[in-house]
Amino acid sequence: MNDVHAMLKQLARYLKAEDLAKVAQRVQEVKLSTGQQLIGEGRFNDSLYVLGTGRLSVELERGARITLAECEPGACVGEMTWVDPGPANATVRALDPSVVFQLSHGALVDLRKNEPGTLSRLLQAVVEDLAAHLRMSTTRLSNEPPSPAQAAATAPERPSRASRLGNLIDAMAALTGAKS
Amino acid sequence: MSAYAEQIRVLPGFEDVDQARLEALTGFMQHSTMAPGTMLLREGESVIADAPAAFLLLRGEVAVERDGRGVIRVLGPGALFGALAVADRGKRSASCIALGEVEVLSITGTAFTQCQDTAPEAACELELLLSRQIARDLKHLNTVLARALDRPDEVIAGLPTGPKRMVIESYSGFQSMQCEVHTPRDRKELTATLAAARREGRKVVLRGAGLSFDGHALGTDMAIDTRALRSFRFFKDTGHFEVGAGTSWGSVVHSLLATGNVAPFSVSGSDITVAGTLSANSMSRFTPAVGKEGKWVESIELLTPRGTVLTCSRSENAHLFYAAIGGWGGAGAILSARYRSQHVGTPTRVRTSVTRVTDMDQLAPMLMPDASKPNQTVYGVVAWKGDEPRAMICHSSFEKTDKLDTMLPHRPSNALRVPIEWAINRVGEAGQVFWNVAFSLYVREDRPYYDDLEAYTFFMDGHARARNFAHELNVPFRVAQQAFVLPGSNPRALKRFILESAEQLKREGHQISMVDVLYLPPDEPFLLSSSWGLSGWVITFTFEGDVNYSRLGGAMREMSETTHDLGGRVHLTKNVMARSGTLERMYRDGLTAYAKIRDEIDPDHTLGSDFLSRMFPTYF
Repeated sequence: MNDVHAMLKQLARYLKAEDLAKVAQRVQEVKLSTGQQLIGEGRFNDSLYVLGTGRLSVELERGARITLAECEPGACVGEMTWVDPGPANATVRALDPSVVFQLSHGALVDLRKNEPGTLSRLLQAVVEDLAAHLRMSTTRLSNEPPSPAQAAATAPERPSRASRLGNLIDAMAALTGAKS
Repeated sequence: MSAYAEQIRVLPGFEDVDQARLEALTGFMQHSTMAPGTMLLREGESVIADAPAAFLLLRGEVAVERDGRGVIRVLGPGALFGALAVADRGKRSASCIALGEVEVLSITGTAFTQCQDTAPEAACELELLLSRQIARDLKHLNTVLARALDRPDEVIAGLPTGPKRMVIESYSGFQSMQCEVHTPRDRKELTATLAAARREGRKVVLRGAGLSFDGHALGTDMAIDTRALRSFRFFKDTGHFEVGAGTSWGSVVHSLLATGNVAPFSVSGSDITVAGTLSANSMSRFTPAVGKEGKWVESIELLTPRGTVLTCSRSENAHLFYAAIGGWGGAGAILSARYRSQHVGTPTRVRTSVTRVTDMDQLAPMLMPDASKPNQTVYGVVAWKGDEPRAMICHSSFEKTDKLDTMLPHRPSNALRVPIEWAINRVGEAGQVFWNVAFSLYVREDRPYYDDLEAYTFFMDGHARARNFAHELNVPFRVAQQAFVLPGSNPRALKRFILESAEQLKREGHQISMVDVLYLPPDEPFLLSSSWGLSGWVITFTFEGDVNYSRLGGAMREMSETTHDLGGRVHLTKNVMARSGTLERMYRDGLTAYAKIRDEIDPDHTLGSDFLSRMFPTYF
């Protein structure tokens, strides 16, 4: 398994031919059974995963489970904590038996030290993806209805609780990068 | 360039960056120092190849503004900004403005591409910095969203929603205005918001809980709510305490309680903030014994619209100390204050004994504080039974005792308070009925009452609760008060003023629900103090029920003229219905000095209020 384009899909879009082997030797394959958790909300994570085959769901636990999105092969999760390790924003679990390709933070440190050009091109894609999440999330937040106090003061109609929740979940889905 | 590399290495987040790579990276960057107010990035603009694309802040602070929502964030040294538009070559998502002088390193789009092509080690570090900055912005947003998801029905603190255009109202309910209300989350944001307002030539009113009677906390352009500045620190050795401007007196008194200390000057509502009362140099029922609030202040921290923070006390920046305390927010924003407190011991109670008086000639002598009892205050309430005036004189002092035997007005949370306040507010006569019942049946003279300190201090909370309740039901709940200060040199004037005014008011059909009186000792030279160079009586008339504010205004203006003729002043804390010319004559000396100080610290006249412009149009 050393076809980086097959493994990392879109994430490999700026890599040059000379980068491929350098990245490939640092990628790990992880097999998940149905229901198995890959990332836990609030739990430490420092790896980036690209879905090879199967299906993943991105979820939040708020009393009930809120599904932010379902991911198809090629989707990437964990970029945020890969570059800045820490607690994860959402839970990611397998909906079907799945295969994911993992790049650990250790791989990032190693590439940074030994192959900075390769990492730079890999990060170029990561930065673009993160920027897209941030822009979309911010845009959706701007659509966030005003607070009840503000609404009462300025508009006769108040947005329903459901629409407020819907908007928040939308913004959160955009933030995790999940396309809902 | 290595000097900048050195400078960067000590910034937060740069500890692990390789020194040689940092030096290579700074080789692609441009160093500049920017003047205060420089706009480094403008929202909506595209990244131009040869213009600075991303900035690294080395020194100073930068305000981030978005969507016409005002300042949403303040960045400090180490922050990388402009990253988003560099990453996706999209438009700028926010504007970035230098708060003071700032030092930055910037990189152009062209230099960034060159760096990627020729110096992969440096490009790798820059990409990593960009990705981390965006990841952190995303995490911040996530925290806010997660909180919002947990409490979707609440106003979400921390959401970068910025200012809200809303109707704000005075406590009396007679003044209301549409205003853009900003709620900075900390001192940094407050500084940035005020600085941005000054730059844009806006008019700002500073605001706490918004419980002022008149237009003191109202304006038509922009209001800054300072309630995020909450802090409390007690110094056991000296009995001093330091509080943030937005701290409520309820929390201050409660925090002090455990220490056995009291703030005898505390006002009567627990939600009222420290900066709110300081800007009024407030009175309390203990004023006859301990003076006004200003007397207990050791020092304040004052923020100017230009962003300078000044410590002001009687020995340092004294002119600002005397202008800002009781300065109605027009002479700088008070950030914090250091006060003295008085030690009583725990449990702390307030002992009050009541004396009935029917001979109004006795009023003035009985209201004089007893010099042999420096900790005992005295105040009175006047009511009428038919045409017969009578008064209740209360002597109160703090005591360390277990005794508890409370008076009804000092039970603000008592279930009866709301219906009583409603009755008084809906029917003007009810106030007089209440006081007459109290005078004849309820009040006892033979033994004192012992009240819980907080219940005694915050007796107006019952009224505020009734008012909130009315607002929830969309029922008007209005109250008008005006206070007059008469010189104490003529005790007979007190009786005449009360009786003749009351007679005139009744003749004109105004319902007086209460008149309270207390002795006001001479104040220090706080410039807009009603008792600077004047000691005497403060007489407050309260009107509830069907108040016709404009008709009442006519009567109050007449009473203000009489007050002026008698050598007194209209007190500025309550509603003020007086001709501006009369007021400017009453406060002339203080106003002249005040205007000079205002020109010194706020030359653009950013700060002000509806109240100041109406009362003193020559000066505001």
